[in-house]
Amino acid sequence: MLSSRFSRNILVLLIVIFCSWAALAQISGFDKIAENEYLILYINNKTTEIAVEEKASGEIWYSNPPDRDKMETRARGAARDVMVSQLKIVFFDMGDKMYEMNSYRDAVLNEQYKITALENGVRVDYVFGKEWNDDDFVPRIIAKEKFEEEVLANLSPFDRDFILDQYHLINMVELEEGEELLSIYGINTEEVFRNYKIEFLSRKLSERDQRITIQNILKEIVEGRGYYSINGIKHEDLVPLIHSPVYVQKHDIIPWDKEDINKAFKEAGYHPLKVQEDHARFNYPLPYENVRNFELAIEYYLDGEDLLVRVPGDSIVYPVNVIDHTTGNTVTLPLTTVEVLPYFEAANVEKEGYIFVPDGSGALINLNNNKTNLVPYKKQIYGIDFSTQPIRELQPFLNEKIYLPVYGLKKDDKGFLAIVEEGESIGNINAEVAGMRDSYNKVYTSYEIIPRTMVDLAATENLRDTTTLHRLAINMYQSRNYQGDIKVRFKLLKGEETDYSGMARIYQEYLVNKYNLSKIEDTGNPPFLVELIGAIDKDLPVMGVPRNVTVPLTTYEEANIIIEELLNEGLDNLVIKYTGWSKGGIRHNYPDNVKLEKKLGNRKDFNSLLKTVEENDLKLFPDIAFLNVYRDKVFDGFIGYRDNSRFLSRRRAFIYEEFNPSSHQPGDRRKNILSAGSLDKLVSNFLSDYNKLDTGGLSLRYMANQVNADFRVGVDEVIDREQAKNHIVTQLERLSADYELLVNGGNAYSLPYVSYITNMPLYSDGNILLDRGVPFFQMVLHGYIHYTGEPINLADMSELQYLKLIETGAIPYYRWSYGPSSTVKKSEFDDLYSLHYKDTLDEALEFYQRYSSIMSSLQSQRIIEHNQLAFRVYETVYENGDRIIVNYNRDQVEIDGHIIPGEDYRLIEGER
Amino acid sequence: MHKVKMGPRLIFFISLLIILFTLPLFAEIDTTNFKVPYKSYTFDFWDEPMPAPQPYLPDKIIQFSALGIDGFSSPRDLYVSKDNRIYVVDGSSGKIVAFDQEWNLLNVIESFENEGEVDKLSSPNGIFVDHEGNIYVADTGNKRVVHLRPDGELIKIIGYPEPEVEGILPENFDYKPVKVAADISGRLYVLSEDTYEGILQFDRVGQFQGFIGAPMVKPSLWDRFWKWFATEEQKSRRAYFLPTEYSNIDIDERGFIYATIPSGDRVEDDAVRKLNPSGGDVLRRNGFHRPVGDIDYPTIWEDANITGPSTFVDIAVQDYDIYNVLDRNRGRVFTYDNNGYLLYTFGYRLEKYGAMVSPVALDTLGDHILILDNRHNIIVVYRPTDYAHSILAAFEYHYKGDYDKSTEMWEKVLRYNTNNDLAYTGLGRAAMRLDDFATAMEYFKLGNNRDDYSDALSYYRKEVIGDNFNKIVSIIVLIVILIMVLKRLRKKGVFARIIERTRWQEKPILVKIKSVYDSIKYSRHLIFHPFDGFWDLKHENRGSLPGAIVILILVCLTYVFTRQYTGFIFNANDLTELNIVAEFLSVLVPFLLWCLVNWSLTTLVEGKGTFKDIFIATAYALTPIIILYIPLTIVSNFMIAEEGAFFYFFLSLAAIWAAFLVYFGIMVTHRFEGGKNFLTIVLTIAGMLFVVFIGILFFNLAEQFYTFVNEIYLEIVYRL
Repeated sequence: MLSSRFSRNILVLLIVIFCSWAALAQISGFDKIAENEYLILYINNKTTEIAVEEKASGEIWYSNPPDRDKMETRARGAARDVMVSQLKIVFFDMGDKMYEMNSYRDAVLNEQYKITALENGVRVDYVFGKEWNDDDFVPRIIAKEKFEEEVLANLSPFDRDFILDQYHLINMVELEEGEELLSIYGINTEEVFRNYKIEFLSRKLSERDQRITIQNILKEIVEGRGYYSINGIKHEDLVPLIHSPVYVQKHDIIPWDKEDINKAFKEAGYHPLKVQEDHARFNYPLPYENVRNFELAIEYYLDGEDLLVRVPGDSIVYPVNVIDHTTGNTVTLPLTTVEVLPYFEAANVEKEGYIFVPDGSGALINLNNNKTNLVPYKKQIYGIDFSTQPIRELQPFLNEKIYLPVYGLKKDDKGFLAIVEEGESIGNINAEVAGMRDSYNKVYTSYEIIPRTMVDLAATENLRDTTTLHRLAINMYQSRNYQGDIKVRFKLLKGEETDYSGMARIYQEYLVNKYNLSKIEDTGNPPFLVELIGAIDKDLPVMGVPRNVTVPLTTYEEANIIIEELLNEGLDNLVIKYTGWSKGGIRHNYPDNVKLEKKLGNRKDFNSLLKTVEENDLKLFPDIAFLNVYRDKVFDGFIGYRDNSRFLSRRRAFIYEEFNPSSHQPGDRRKNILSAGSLDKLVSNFLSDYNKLDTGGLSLRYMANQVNADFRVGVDEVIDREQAKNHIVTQLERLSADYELLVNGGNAYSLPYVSYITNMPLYSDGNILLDRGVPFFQMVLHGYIHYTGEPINLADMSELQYLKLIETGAIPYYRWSYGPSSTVKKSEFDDLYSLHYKDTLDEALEFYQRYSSIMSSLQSQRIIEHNQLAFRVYETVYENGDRIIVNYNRDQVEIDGHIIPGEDYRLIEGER
Repeated sequence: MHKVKMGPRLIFFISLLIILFTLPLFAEIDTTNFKVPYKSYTFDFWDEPMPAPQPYLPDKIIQFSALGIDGFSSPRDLYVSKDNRIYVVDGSSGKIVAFDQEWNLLNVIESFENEGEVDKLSSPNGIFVDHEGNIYVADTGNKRVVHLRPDGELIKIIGYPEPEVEGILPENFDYKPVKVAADISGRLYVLSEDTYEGILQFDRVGQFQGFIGAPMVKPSLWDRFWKWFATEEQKSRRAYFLPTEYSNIDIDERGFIYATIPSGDRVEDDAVRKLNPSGGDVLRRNGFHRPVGDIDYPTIWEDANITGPSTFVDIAVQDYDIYNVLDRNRGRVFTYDNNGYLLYTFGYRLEKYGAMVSPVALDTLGDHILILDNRHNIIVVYRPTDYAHSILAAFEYHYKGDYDKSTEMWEKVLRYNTNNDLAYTGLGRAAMRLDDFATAMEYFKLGNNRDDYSDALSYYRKEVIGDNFNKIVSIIVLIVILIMVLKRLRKKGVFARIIERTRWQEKPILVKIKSVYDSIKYSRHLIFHPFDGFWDLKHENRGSLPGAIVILILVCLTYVFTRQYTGFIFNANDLTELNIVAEFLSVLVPFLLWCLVNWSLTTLVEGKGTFKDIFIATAYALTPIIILYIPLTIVSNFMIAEEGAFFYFFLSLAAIWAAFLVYFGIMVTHRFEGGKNFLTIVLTIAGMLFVVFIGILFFNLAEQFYTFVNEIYLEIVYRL
């Protein structure tokens, strides 16, 4: 005890010395492995950490905190080892128990890694989990000659004595005349040993020790032969021992010697496979290779000024139906999650700055904000996959989701912006502040390589809280793992660009270059977006029997009237989104053929609407929902077993549509999820009809805010989330060839194809881990795509919406109907409680006038900066130098000599 | 060995925790950057939650730990004085802080001088500030109420209640004052924890006067039933009759005490009470529901983060008798008007900005609502949106008598939210004041407000009758003359001759119809002469199966007619949700069940009636329902609520009459004597219940079997 404490103290001392030495030579331990015009890539061959140096400035970005030995005060042991890892994995055993492994503790320390230099980069292959247990290197029984030749010969004299001390040399020889057999409890000694005895050659043992040793040998043999108890043992089992001197391990080895013994055998080069031979020869139980082995590789490239990190999909290997020899069972250990570079540029407690997460419009988490009693931040990119399990469409606890696969960190004047280029749809963005698990602030991505959910064995498929223990729930997994790559691009930031404005500019530049986005043309007045609600459905008695009937709210003719009225008011840049215009209303029929809703008018009425739109050079976007199926009629193109996506439980996937604002419980009404594999056919069929209408525009309800996998049983039938995303992108590309597109939400993949985005988040989620919401999303898109949030008249924060639109450069957006709002009462659409256009027309016109007076010249300008000037006072700076200052306070504020009244804004023109 | 090691580590951990909890989490948080974390709604007449615009939005978050007051970590109560100062009392440090309305810290009362010595509060739970600015604190730990001046100087201490009369205090009374309020005259009201006798009342000088407003124990029917059979031991084990305890009180300008009662597993009907000085509950509960918070909530059997009814912990009265109550369970604020209508609700319990984790107290500051969150050590300030403003303004204008403005405001409210049924009531009331009763009725109908509709109708009726008295009289005279003429004509046989001329006897179908018509017509005789009526019905073949079927269908139709067209006041049905099939079945199923069970039973006891006889007799016996229900339904449209007794009397009359007829019908049909007949009828009813029971049992079993099979199937599918 005393000695171990002493050795620990020495160790601490050594670490301290090492630290101070490491601090002096910052990049020591690292070797240069690649270099390009701008950057040098280093790798530490001992720990597989990497570092990137920018040649011009000499700044270095580290994959793991280099000052961890000095700064880390909380984590110990395993938690400390994680800090050296580059990859972390999560897997489950057959009993649904979760395990974690990391590249340092479970691969590097076991020396199960390989570093390969690549052109412009480096690859590290890891095997997680020990292939052999340490004990497997040590034979518990071994023939004398073999022991001497293959073990002892390779050891130093000191070790040799130490090892010999751990073994008894025994031999089984005939009993001498008149000698009594040592009786062993539990067996018929005479029958088993017949006329043989065990002779102890190495040292003299008391009778008791002899008995224990023999008993242990027998026990091992019993186990090796697979007998149920010791009395199953037969004389034949002992035959190999006769006249062959063997070494057997002592039964009373001191635990702390074990490690040294294991080490000695490893150093002697004695492999477990040889141990297998030894044990097999003497009927001892065989050591087997561990089944818990996972293979994974990571590649680092220098790509221009960026660091590109790739986890190759084909490097992922996990045990599938392997035989676990220790139990004899077939085992599959699904590798569910991979965390990539969890400590990249992690910030210690002394740094100032923030973590940027793209929550909703974007949000900042201040470094060291001390909110350590909260749960770490974790959110899925592109929102929830509705196919994992039955879930409500409206999540009461989830206000905003993540639309952009980016995240960043600013620590003092240095930082990074990471862009997930591939595999983002299975990704989560994670963030932690110092004090939660260790002393570092960090932000990183994790990936659901195999999506998992808990499925209740109870028959009803209700929303169930699967965390409660009394339920019998089991894990269900996607039938195969994600096979694509994971690619993350790290933009290395320093100096002035290291803030969220800089991150937004860099991401914008990245998108513009990658997708060739073009700027909005200045068209005079800014657009005014009106969403008209065509028809809804409602349960009404028909001849005394309740039926679901379609009720018109705005017919084609009435739409025309509203448009004319707005035109007369001078709104010449009208953008009209027409929702619920086709058969069935908002919850329309399966759109494989396009039919007008009779209750809204006939083809002639629709055409005259189109004519008004065309003559006045307006834009019309009829809205259609492709990914969700509201009605499944007998003779439509939707065939459940073929076109319906599956839950992880393999049942047909659906979404609960209704939301009860009081109880938060789901209602009965649900809609089916279309399998992404059937999307192509649906769009083809849709287009063959829709092309005839000649509208010029198309509004897509879910294509940019839902990505749902299809978890079918068959390995080849599975459409994982990334594949589903690719299906959607293909269709977006195809639709955008002929139509101008308007989408809801605006997941990053849709950005190259759309010209308008509605219901984009203008706020971030109010999770109290976040310290500030920022309009990152808007800063990225302004000048390239028109966007707006919720309709002003129905927005949750309706009163702030005006100011918010000005602050974020979003366009005005109203959702209107011609019919009275009261039509929606007692229907599933009662959340459209202020719908009649006359009710909000005047205030809309008034707002638009003020809006266009300041925004018309700024439509095509990029936002280059966004700052908080005072509490609740924000400025948005455009590329032409114009600044808009918005004051959310009730009282006026004075900024640089400009007085901004309470709840108002001011345009300050830049010098030109 | 272990203990030695654990000690310092534990202390370190605890001190770390304290540091963490006292660090400012919310300093300078701008809530305008975050989306509001809750939805708003109201309930409609049929208990359905209706989405509504946000009435209040989070505005500011006041963080106590940012103030740097030593040990101030568990604020318990909050009170806003008349001059808009905010007082908060902290349970852990016993300190009181006061802010002005701009949230500048005015002073911190850490201790006070009591008879020359420094005295401190110990775990205080309640604070109240009277109209002069003096502070009352429920000093729970010291079992007293402390009365302080605004600067912390002691005025007096009201200690253990000492009654003037013996026996007012219960035995083993443990005085734990938690909440306190005082009226203008200085009378003090104190809530003591674990006290079920009501509110303790003290006079000006601190003399205990007694208890007022003990929550009444209202055992349900089942409770009474249970009490009958339960043994003493069982009774004592079931705490059925334990009266509930108040959770908080507030007092309005006129001295009415508003008190809240927290709900447990089931909803407390009187969750809010308004007590007059003598302790009587005068709260008006005329809304769609009693003011109990959520009507529609998940039970513990459902999967929800928060289950159970709303549990009120604080109440704050504002102008025009509008009161806000705080639900600790879901972290919601419910605002009711003076009649008990739910105006709006907001808030939720979440770890999000603008939501609360552990709400303990609320009060109003001007039009703002303040909520104290005990866990995060913060006050969340909510400000009203224009929507809530409009509602409050509508009340204000109405009280001031500016009905045009009030109307304007209610119209604005409707523009914001078409689901707001209260707006229609508001519009109706304004119209009433302007003597436009017809319009008022229209609005009250839209607003589902039956009481006000009845008032409007009574005026409207008077007005219409007054205006058209001559017309009405002449119409009545005309009708009387017409009837007399028709009777005379019939006597002369004019109609018979006309019918004769059609030569209906030659057409078999018409003959058939005539015979059915005659058989139906017979019911007119039957209902007044049941004995020989039923005899002839069976033996003289005066009734017929087609006739019975027609009567049955007519009864069904009468039910539909009554359901749809009964006057608004007496008709709580949702007219848009008519389901004829269901209505028909609600008549047909019991009818057929009756016939079937009665038939199977009477065949055993040698009843003489066949199934057909029973069917016909029962159907004929239902005739009074047709005859009375239809005119009643029509008349009900012109009746006001006060005349309801008349309406319900005739409804019951029809039912009782029909029941008598059924009784005699069965008796005559089977030729039973009185006693035997009564027995068969009782047994028939029992048999019907039994069949229903068996039916339910069967369906349950079938469902369970299905579940079982499905579960096995699922397990096989999942495990493979």
